[in-house]
Amino acid sequence: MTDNKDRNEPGDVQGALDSIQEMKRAALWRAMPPRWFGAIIALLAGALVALSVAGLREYHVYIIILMALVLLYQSQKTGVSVRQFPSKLTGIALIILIPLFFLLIVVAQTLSDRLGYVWASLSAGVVLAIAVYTLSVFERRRHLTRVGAEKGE
Amino acid sequence: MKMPLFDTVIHAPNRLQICAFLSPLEEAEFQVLREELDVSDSVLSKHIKQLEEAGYVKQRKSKVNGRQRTFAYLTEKGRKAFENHVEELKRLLVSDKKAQKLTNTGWR
Repeated sequence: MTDNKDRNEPGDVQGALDSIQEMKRAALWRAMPPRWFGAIIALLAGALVALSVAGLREYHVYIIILMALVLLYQSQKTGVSVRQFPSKLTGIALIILIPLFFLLIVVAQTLSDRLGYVWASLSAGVVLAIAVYTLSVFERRRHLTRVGAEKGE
Repeated sequence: MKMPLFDTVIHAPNRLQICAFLSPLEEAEFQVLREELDVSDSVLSKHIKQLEEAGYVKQRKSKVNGRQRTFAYLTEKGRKAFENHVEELKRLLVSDKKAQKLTNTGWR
């Protein structure tokens, strides 16, 4: 590559384009959260519901602090933040997750007479954890597809 | 429609890599850029400064856990210039291939 337009060779231009794709892919790869990240956030979200059902709301603050720490650790570890908005499907899923959170609490509290508080709170927690984990898996796949698209461009 | 423009500030190998790395990101830490480009602090600083002077990149400093961290990001102007530059490279490649084809078929 040279700084002069007139001296560019075809191989030079191709090399520059290849280098661009390589760097874009490296950037997206770095920004991708690991599998454990989705799993931990899912577990903590599940724990939040389970504690609500069990009536242990005073412990919410610890879960929220843990969530914030995990998010902070992840952003510090990668050293990059990706420039992309959540996909349409993720947006819809997030809109569904919030009502689902409250719905699970109400349903579990209703069922707690039959199941007992322990099982009712655990079941509600597991349902939300599965929903959050599924969402994280979907987002990870979407990100991988984007990395692949940069590679194949 | 504005025609793509070849940008000599961006085209230097290290600066092209910096812009390419920052293009899909909101921002990247200085240390991450240095690792990816495999260059020294001074070399990276020099290139970032040149991009900053052109108004293509900006730096943001933040103190985390008592440690000073520097982040770099592409400005809107830089993003546009990089996109134009990539378009121009693609256009050059296509015209080179066409010229090559004409030469091979005996037209030139």
